[in-house]
Amino acid sequence: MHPVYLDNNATTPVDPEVYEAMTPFLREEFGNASSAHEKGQRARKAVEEARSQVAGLLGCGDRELLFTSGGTEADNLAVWGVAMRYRDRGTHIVTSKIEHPAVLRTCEVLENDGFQVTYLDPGPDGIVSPDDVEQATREDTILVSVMYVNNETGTVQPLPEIVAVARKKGALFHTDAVQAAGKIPVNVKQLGVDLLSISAHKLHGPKGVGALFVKDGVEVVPLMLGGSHERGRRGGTENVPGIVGIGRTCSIANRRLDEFKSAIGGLRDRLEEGILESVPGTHVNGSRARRAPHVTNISFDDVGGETLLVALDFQGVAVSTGAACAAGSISLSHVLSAMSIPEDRIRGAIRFSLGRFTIDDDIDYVLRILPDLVKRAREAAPETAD
Amino acid sequence: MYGETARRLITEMPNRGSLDDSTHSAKAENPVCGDIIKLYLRIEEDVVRDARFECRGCPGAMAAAAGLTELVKAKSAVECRAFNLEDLEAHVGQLPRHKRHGLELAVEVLRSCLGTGER
Repeated sequence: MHPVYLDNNATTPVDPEVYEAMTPFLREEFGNASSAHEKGQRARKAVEEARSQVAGLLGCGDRELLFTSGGTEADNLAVWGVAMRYRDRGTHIVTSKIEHPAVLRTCEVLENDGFQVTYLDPGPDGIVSPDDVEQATREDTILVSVMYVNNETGTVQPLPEIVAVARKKGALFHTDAVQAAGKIPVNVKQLGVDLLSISAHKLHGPKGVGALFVKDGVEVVPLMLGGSHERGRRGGTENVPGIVGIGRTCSIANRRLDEFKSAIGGLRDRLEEGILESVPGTHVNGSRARRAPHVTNISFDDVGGETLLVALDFQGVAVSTGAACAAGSISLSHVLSAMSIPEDRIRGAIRFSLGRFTIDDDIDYVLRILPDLVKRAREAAPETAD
Repeated sequence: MYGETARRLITEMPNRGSLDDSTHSAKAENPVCGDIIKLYLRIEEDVVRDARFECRGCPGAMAAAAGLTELVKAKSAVECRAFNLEDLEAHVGQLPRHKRHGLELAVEVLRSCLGTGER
């Protein structure tokens, strides 16, 4: 069996270069970055070097970055932290229905605390319209939060246009760029965003570490209370190995950004075109024109995506699906649902997400085994539901 | 996790498709998750000579439906009427806990099928 990992939007294997960079900080260089002695100061130096490396990928100043425990904390801090800091200016937030739960759940909690949240529908192509954002943004809107690259479809939102309309109304702008950083160019100045979240483990870095860009002059109320770490914005002893890891991760991603687009984008296109050609009754979900290079989300007519996922898994191929059945109740992808994709297509949706370590052989193997698995599943499917 | 038999059933889906010369057939549906299993049996001289299934649903339902057809083949109708959840579970083997509802659906369709009489 040929093990093939095409679930890189869930998580990625750690790059050996990142692992090597982190290891000393789990062993001999165990110092607390807040300590005054040399061991502590070496840890501090490593943290600040990592900050510069992340800043290099995002095009921001070092002091505009704070480290978190991952993308979820970065999203939570951005949305909740801004809401708490600026609630005297207004209590309205605009976001989209295709956001990660880290944003959506935070918005729901804020609704219980007196905020009003407008959740925008994307178009059938998965794109949020700048016009819709403009119409939804009010005088009392303090924050607009729209993700850059969607984790399920890979669609790229027209951020500069959306940021411009938010800015016109005086609202701050946050984007969840967890699936964008290192995959497509992400420059906070060009995008014009005020806050931006990233995570290391989606990019061949370690789990448990992320970063939030907070533009100079923008303030957030901390979620984590404690010491004055991260310039008072995030209490708690720094996760030095993790931070070293995210730094090296971003440095490698920055170096290989062009290569990622051409090499991984080429593999994705070959996979997608190969599936569309060899398997009838397949549909790509989301815009193919405005999409990051590493994702394709494909619906297979008359096939349960979860059954196909498991059958692929037994053949050594890891992917993810748009619908999951647990204990007799079905959970459909909130992203595909928001795009008004019919339920049958959501049930038959498979997400293939590639990473830097995906190779030609992986694509060949999937294209070789997939048509038969789909054919078999269709032969088992009832012709009608009656 | 899925056991070896369940893995085989999901991968190979033995006895899939309808049965043109079936003598008995029935459908069962889980109205909540939408899983559907159709069972077709050809029973001659009180023995299940052939069994096929169609399934739209999760991997648990697929394994249960395919496993059911294997279980009932060459058995007498009397034996089949006596099959219960534990018998099917013993044949299908390990399924993740949250996929076990497929077994119940398969037992339901078997009972319904044998209750339909010859057509």
